[in-house]
Amino acid sequence: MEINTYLFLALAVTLLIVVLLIAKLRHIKKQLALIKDAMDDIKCGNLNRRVLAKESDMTKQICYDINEIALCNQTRLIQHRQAEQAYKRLMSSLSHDVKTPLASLVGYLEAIESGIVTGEEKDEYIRVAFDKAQHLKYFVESLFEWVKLDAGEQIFHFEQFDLNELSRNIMTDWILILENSGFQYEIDIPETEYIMQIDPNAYTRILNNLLQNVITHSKGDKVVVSISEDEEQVQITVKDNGKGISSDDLPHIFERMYQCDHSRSGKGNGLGLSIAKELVSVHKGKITAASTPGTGTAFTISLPKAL
Amino acid sequence: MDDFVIETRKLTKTYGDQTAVGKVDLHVRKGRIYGLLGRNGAGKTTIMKMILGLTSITSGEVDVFGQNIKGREKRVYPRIGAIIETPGFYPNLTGTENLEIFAKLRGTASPDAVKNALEIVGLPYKDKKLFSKYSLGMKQRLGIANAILHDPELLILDEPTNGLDPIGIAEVREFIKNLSAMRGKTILISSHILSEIALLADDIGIIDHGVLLEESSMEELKKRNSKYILLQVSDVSKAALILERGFHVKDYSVQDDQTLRLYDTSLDMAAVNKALVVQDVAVISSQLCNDTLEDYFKKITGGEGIA
Repeated sequence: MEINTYLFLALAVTLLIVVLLIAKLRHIKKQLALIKDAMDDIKCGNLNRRVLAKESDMTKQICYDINEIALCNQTRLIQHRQAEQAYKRLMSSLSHDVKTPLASLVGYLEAIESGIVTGEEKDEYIRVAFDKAQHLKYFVESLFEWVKLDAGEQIFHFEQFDLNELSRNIMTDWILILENSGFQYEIDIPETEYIMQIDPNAYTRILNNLLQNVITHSKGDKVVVSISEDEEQVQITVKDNGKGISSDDLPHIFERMYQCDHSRSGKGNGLGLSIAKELVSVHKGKITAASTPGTGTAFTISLPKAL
Repeated sequence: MDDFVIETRKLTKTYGDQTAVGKVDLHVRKGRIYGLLGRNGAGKTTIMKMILGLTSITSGEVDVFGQNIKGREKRVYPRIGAIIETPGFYPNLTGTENLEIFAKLRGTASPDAVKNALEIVGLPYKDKKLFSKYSLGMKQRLGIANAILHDPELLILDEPTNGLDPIGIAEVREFIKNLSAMRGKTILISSHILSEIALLADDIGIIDHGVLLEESSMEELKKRNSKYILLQVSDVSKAALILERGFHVKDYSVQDDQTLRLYDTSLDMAAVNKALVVQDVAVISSQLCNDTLEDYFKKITGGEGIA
């Protein structure tokens, strides 16, 4: 009698376990079906698809891993696509930037060649045509430099240089140009020596682009170049007292081909700042701009001391 | 063929003899932000509710992820994230605790889903502040965090910037844009503010009195929105020379061998045409493109405009 009760209890417990296991099995089966569904979708290219898992699910880790793989692939795909689109945009705006000056250059040359203009007017035409050709040349050069940078083909030579000395030398070359362009200047570079790893050509190019920018675009008459340092970094600031940059334009000025002067008559090419930014980032530094419309713009380059 | 994430066919909702939504054919393309623009009460929320099964469909069909939604609700809804009107949260719990409850209920795509979601909308993780103490802007953000908690492929956001201050609106706009650009999400968003949609959407649907008046890509609309004179001539080089010398035009671009765009619309085109013809440049066409987005919406909605 007693044995029977035990047997009965054991049977009941076994049955209960079996029922529980079957329920569990069905739940897992359902989850596996869901995972398979999602996998099929992901295989077909829908990298947005996620498999949802709850805290208690046995398949939790598998689900999370699948999601991570899909997310990684998707991120890479999106980056790739964005780069492609940016390149397409660059190409189409490029074709206008080359076509427009080229068309007008041809116009001037035709007029000269066919003898429509003579004497002084002819000289004037030749001068204008020459300017346009120069501008075009400069544009194409900048463009190639930019493409080289973008493709990572530019080779840099980092050497130990005294940043202050190097900056002073660059500024010496600029003094005459600034004076001729009607700019007052103030150069505040410390007398101390500061040695750091620098590619002198790239650094020169950065300062040149910023100063050229001031002359061409700022419409001001004074520029201040100063260098200061603290424990972590060196800051090089180029500040003008020109018309400033509006807050709408400011976030975009380092983008390639972005021009604040929305008319196409400007002298710039929208590459200078973009090149400067690339070159600064090669030095592991940062370039920022702050501006108040009407009172001027300040570009600040921060280079880390430990390169 | 385009990949539609949402497609509705003759979607209709009537209350008695009142038509709230009439025969709407919506096409939301994959990976894009679709802006549903219309005045308050135009039927935007009703359309979203029908897609989400929150209200019955009088007639018509809804396809989500390429398949009819009927009978597949359980499989489809976990892949959508939505915020319709004010979402219900527990007032006596913190934001993090609220999201953790939803995470447990719905399951998540990764172990740190709550943290990620809060990070995207810019709310602090594990903050002690109770939901009842949240400002309207924070509540709205938490609502969006809840919508993206399970990393869904499709987001349906009904006026997500309602009640936010201008800075909040800009921030929300920025992360919604990012969700689409960086994470490849498809987003259906409604608003009654034209400028808001214009800044955010890739595609736009204009709805008025329950009827979808127009569906178009933003790119297409923006093309109509710019101001310029399109000039087609036999010789662009000559034309460029004449424009530069005779009319001091600098703001122009050469589109192709025959087409110029002049961005100064105040130019005396009669004189330009005459000068071109006199100097042996045939003018094929000259056309003033001058239409603003607002004008366009006024035209579409029958004179009243939107918002």
